[in-house]
Amino acid sequence: MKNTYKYIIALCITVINFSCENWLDEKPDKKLVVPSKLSELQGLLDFQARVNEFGSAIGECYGDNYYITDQTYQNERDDSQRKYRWAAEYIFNGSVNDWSYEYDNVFRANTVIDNMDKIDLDKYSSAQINATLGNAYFLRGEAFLNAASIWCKAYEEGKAVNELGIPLRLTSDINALSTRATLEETYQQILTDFKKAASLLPDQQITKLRPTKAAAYGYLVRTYLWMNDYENVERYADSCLNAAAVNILDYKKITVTKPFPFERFNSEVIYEKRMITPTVLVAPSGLVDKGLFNSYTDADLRKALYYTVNTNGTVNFRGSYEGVINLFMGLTYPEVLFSQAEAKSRLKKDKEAREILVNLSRYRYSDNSYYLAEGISLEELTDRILIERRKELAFRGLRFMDIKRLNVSGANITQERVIKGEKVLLLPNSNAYALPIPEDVILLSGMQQNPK
Amino acid sequence: MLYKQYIYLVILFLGLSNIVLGQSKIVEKGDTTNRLLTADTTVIEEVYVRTGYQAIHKERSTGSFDVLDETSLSTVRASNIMNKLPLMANSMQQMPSRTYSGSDVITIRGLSTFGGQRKPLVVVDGFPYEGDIDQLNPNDIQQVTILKDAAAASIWGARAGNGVIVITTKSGKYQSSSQFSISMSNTLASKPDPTRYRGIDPVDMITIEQFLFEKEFRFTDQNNRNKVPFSPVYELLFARKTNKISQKELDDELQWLAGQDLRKDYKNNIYRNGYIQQLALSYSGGSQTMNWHLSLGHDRDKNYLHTDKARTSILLNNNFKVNGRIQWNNKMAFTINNRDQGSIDWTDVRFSGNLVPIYTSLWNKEGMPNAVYDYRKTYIDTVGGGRLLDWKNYPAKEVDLRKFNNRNTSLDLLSSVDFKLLEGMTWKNTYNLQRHTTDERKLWFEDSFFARDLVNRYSQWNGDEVKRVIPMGDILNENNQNMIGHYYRSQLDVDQKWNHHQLNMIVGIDLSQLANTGKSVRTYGFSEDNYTSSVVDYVNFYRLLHSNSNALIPNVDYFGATKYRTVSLYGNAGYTYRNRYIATLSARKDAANVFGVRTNQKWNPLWSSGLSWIISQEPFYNWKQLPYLRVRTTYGYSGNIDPAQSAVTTLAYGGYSTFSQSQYTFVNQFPNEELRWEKVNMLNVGVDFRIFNNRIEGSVEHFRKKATDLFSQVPVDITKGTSLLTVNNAVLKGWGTDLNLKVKVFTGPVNWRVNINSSWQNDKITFIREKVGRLNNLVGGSRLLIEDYPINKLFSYKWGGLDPQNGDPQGYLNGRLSKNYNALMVDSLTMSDLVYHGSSTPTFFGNIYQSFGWKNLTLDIRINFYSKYYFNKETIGYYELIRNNVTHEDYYRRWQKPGDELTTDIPSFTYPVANNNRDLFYKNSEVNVLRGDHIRFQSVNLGYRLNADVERKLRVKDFTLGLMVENIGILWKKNKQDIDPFYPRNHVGLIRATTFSMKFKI
Repeated sequence: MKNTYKYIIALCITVINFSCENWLDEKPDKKLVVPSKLSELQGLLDFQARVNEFGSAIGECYGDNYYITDQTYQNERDDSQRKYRWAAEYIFNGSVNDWSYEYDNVFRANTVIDNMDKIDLDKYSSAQINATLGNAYFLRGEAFLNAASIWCKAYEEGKAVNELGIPLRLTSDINALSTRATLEETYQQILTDFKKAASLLPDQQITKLRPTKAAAYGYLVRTYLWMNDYENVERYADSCLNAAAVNILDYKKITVTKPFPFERFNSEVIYEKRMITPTVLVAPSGLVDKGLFNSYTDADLRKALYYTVNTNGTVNFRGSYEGVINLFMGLTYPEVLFSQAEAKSRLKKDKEAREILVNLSRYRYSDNSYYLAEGISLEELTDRILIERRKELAFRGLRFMDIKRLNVSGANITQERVIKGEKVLLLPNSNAYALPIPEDVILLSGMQQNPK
Repeated sequence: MLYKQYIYLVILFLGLSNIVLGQSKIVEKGDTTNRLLTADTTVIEEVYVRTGYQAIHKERSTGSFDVLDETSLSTVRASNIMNKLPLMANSMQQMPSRTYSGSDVITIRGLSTFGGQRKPLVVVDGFPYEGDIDQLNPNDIQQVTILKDAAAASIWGARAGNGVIVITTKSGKYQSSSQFSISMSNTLASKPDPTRYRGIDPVDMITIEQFLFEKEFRFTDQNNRNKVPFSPVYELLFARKTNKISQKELDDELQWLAGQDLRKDYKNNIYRNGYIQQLALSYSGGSQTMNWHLSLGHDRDKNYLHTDKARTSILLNNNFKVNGRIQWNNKMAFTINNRDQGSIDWTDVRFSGNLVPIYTSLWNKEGMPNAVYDYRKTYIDTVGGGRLLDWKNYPAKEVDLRKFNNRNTSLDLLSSVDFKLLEGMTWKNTYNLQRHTTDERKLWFEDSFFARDLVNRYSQWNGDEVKRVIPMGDILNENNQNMIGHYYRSQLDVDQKWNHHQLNMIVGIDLSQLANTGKSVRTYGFSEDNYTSSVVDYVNFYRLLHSNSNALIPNVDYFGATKYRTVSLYGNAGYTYRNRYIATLSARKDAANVFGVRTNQKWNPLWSSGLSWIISQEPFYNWKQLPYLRVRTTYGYSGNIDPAQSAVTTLAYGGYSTFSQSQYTFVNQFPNEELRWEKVNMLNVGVDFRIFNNRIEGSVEHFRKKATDLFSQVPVDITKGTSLLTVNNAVLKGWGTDLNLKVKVFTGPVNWRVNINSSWQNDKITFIREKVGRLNNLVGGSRLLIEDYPINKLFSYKWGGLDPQNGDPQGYLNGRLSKNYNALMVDSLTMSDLVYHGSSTPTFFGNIYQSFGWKNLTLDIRINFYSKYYFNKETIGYYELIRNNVTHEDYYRRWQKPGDELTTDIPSFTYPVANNNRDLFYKNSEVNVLRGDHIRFQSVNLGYRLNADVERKLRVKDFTLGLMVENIGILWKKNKQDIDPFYPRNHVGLIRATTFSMKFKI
C-alpha cells in the first residue's frame, strides 16, 4: 500500500516534469521578442529619435559659422565652453555623448546584419530583405563616416595608411574588443558599407527617414569628396542624381514671413537627419559670423530666408530644413550638386562645373542677378564654387569637415574665437582637428588617444 | 489570582499540543506560559517554526530562525508589518537611504546580491505574496518566522538568497469556545515643522539674487526660445532696470518678499496633525470537526499633508475535518486600500522644474493665491492678448484642482485538502489564487495649471485667432495594473517514529504562474461632471506656442503584459535519534520561463544540510547551572534569479512611428551567453542555552556566507553600443554574529523582562572579474564595486583644507594638493587621494525591549541602536544654489575672508560657477563624512489591564488600555552636529506619534 502511493506520486512528478518543458516556454513579457520577423529588425532602424534625430553637432560647433558672446560663454556648461575653445581634453562627458550617438547606431546596424539569418527569409520578398539589410549597411557607413570626421584627421592619400582611424566594429558581439583601425581602413570600410547599401536599397521609401539608393550614392559622394577622390565624386554624383526623385526648391517661391521658412522633408531632401542642436548654435545665443553673413549679397535670396537680423545688429540662423530651430544635417540635392561642381572643376571640366553653378544660382538669386564671368580661371571657378557651397550649406554640420579637408590641400584657413578679450586660434591641420576620444572610452577600451 | 490564570493557560496549551501532533497544526507559545513552566524543562520549547512548507518543532530543526509571535508583534504599532519587523527582529535591518540598496529595503543578515532582487521573499500562509504588503492587516497576523540561514531558506530555492519572511495568519482552533475580540486605537501624529529645515533665509536669498543680477547672470535667458522664467526678484530688478517701476516701488516689493517664507506658509496653513485610527474585530472558535476565524479591520490614516488612506480588510480562515482521513482548509482574505492624495509638499512647489525661491509665498499681499510663473512673466502677461487661458500657476489653489486617487484591491483565496494516506503520512494538495489590482486615477481639473498649461502650449495662434488642438476640459489619467497569481502545490508529508528514531520528511512540487497586465490611458477634454470626453490628434505635429518647436500631443497610453511561470521540485528530511541527535537535508530544483534561455539552463538545483545536538539531553549531562544546551550547524545554498537577464538578443517594441508607419523596436537585452544564476552559500553555527534556572534564555549564532556569480552592471566602452552591461561579476563574503537574550530579571508581583537582539554584520567583496571604473567614482554612496571593501562603503576625497587666498576647497590629485576639480571628477586618482571611512550601513545594531509589570500595569520600552557606520552630511552647493534655489544653512558658515579657513571648512561663494565640480568635490570630501552611530528611543507603552472582577462584571475578558508614544527621539549620537543620521536630508524626519488603544474580548 505504502509503496503504491510512492509510485503514484513519483509518476505524477515525472509527468509534470516532462510537461513543464513546454509550459516554461511561455514568453515572460509580451513586449519582448527574440528577433524572428523582418519588421522587428526594420523596427530597430526605424527608431527615428535615435537614428535620425540624434546627430552629432560637432561638425558645426567646431566650425566658423557662428560665435557667442562672453555672457553666453560664461553661462554655458563646462563641456560646452571646452568645445567652443577647442580644448584638448574633456570635450565629451558621461556615457551619452557624440561618441555614443554614432556607436549606438553602429550597434543597431550590426544587430540587424547579425540577426538576419534568424529570420525565416522565405516569408519575405528579396526586395524587402534587401531594403532592410541595405538600410543597416547605410546606417553603419553613415555612423562611421561621422565618427571619422570628428575623431580623425583629414584623409590624405598615401598618408592615410599611417594615420589613426576609428574602431570599426563589424559585429554586435558585446565581448569583442574595440581597437582603432587605420584611417585608410576606416575610409575603405565606409565605402564598402555604402556600396553594399547602394546595391541593396530601393529607389523609393515610405519616408525620407529611411535611406534610398540615391541616399547611399549621395553619401558616397560625400565620402569621396572628403577623400579628395574627384573622379569618384563625379561618378557617384551622376548615379545619385539619376536615382534621386527630388526637385530643387525655387527660393523665390518660399514665403519669407514664416518664422522658419523651410519645411521638413522638402523636395530637396534626399535623406533626413537632425542634429542634437546645442543652444550656442541657434537663436538667441548662437550668432552668425559677420563674414559669413556679409558674403551674401542682397540679391541672394538665402540672406533673408536663412537669417534674421536682430535689433542690435546681430544675426541668427533660421534656415534649417527641419522647419524648426533644430539644425538639419542630412543629405540634400544641392549638396550633391556642389560636390559634383567642385569635382568637375578640379578635374578641369570647367564648362560643366560652371553650368551646374549657374543653373543652381537661378533658384537662389533673385532673377538673373548671379554673375559669373566667362573665362575665369579654373582656380577662380573652384573658389567661387566653394564660396557658394559655404553659403548654401551653412549650419548643415558640414563646415568643420570642409575646413579640415581644404586645409590639407593648402586652403590655410585659421579659425579664431575671442573669449573675454583673448584670442583663441585653431591653426590649419592642428591636432585639435582630430578631437580627443572621450576619456572614459579610452580608459575602458585601452585604445590609443589622439595626440594633443 | 495570577497563579490561577497561568494554570488555565497551561492546560489549554497541553490540550492543543495533542492536536498539534495529530494534524501538524501549530500552537503558539506565549511568554506567560513559558515563565510558569520553568520547572519542567522537557515541555518548554513548544515553539514551532514555519517554513511555509511545514511547521517544524524548533527542537527538531537545525537552521536559524527568528520567531515573532502575536504577543511580541503587538508591542509595535504600525499599519504595515514590514515597518514592524526591523524594529524588533534579530539580524534584520532597514537600510538607510543613499546606500547601495536604496531606501526601504529590508535586509536579513546583510545583502547577498547587488544586481538582482534585493528584497527578502515574503510568504503568506505558505505561498509567496505578490501584492503590496500594505494589503495585509497586521492585526491578522499570528506569527512571523524569519528564515535566516541556508538550511532554513533553501527550501525556497532560487528566491531565498536574501532570506525569507514567513507570515501566518490567524486561524481558529478546534474545540475552543467562540469569542469576539475588539481592538481599537487612535493615534495622533504631531505636525512636522518645516522651519526645522534651515536653509538660507528669504532676505539673504534676495541679496544673493541681487548680486547675481548685477553680474548679469542668466541674462541670456531673456531671449531663451523656451521662455524660461525668472524669479520674482529678478523680474522686479528687470522692471526697475527698464524703468517700469520706481526705486521706491522696488524697495517696497523686495521688503515685502523678504518677509515671506514658503516654509512658514506651509507650517501655518497646510500642515496639520496626522491622525490614525485602527479598528479590528474578530470572531473565532471551533467545534470537534470545524473551526473558524473571521476578522474585520478598518484603518484610517490622514497625514500632515492631508493624504487620506483607508484600508478595509476581511479575513476568514475556515477548516474542516471531513472525516478521520481528510482535512479541508480554506482561507479567504480581501482587502481594499484607498488613498486620496493630499497637498504637495513645499519642496515640490516648482517653476520650470526648479525649486521656487524660499521667499515665495502662497498668498499675495491681498491675500489672494499667489502666482508662480512657469514661463517668462513678460511673455505670459502679454501673449495671446487675453485669448489664451490664464497661464499662471497658483500653488495655493492647485490642491483643490486635482484629484489623485489610488485603490488597491487584493483577494487571496486558498484551499487545501490533506489526505491521511497512512498513519504518519499525509498528502496535501493546495491551491492558492491571488489577485491584486491597482487602480490609479489622476484627474486634473480644467482650471488646474497642468491642464491650462497643456492647452495653452498646444494652442495654434495665427495673430488674431486661437485654435486649440488640445480641447479645454479636465485631463484624466487612468492606470490599471492587474496581477493574477495561481499556485499549486502537491506535497507528501511523512512523519514516522520508531524506537529511538524519528523521521519527518516532505517532498513536493510547486507550480506557479504570475500574470500581470497593465494599461494606462489619458483622456483629454474630459468632464468629471458629465463624464464626457473629447479626442485629440496624436499623429500630427503641432507647433508649440511658447517655443515654436514642433511636438506631438503627449500620449502616455501604455499596454503591457507579463507572465512568469516557475516549476519547483523540493524535499526536506529531518531525522532525530534519541531526541538529541538531529540531521536535516533539503534540496530544491527551480525552473522558470526565463526568456531566451534554453530549457536545460532553466533548472537550478540548490541544497542544504544541518546537524544539531542537544547536549543537555545526554545521560551523562548534569550541569545544573546550564539546564539546556544545544549546538547546531548548517551549510547550504540558496539562489537568486533575475528574470530580466537573457542569453540572446531580445528586442522590445517601443511605439509607433508616424512616418514609417510601423512599430519601432530597440534592443532590450544585450546577449550574454555566459550569464549564470547567483548562488549564496551559507554556513551557520549556533548555540542555544538556558542558564540561571532558566531565567536567561539565549542563543548565539555565527554565520559566514559567500555569494558567487553576483550580477552587477559594469560600465563598458560605449563603442560596444551600450554603457552598462550586466555580468556575473563578483564574489561577496559576509560574516557576522547574532545574539538573542531573553532575561527574566524579576518574576513575581513585580516583573521585569528584557529581550535583547544584537547583530554584528560585515561583508567584503573578495573578487571582481571586471575591474573597471575610476576611483573617483567611489566617493559618496557609490555603486562602484571594489575588492576588499564592503558593498555599502563610504569613501571620500582627501581634504586639503580651504585655500587661504580665496576659500577654494582643495583636494589631492596623485598625492599633490590640487584645485583642478575637473580632473578630480574625471581623472584617475590614486587610492591615497581618497579616504576610506567604513561601512555606510550599520555593522553593529540591534534592539532592546524591556517590559515591566506590576499588578495591572505594564510598561514597555523599546530602544534601537545602530552603530559602526558612516554617512555623508548635506551641505551647500553654489551651482545648485544659483540655478535651482537649493539652499543650506552651511552658507552662513562659509569662508568669507582670509583667516576663515582656520575656523570653517565651507568653501567661499564664487561667481561665475561654470559647473558643479567644485561643489561635488567639496560635498564628497572627508569633512562632510560623519559617524552614524546612534541610539533611538523608539517607543514607550503603558498598559493597564482591568481587574478580573471588574471584567467579570462587564462580561469581558482581557480588557486592556494602552498609551504609547513612538519616535521619542535620539538618546545618543556620535556626531556632534544636529543631524539625524537616518534622515540627513529629510526636513520632516520621523514624526512623533501618540496612540491610545483599547482591546477586549467577549
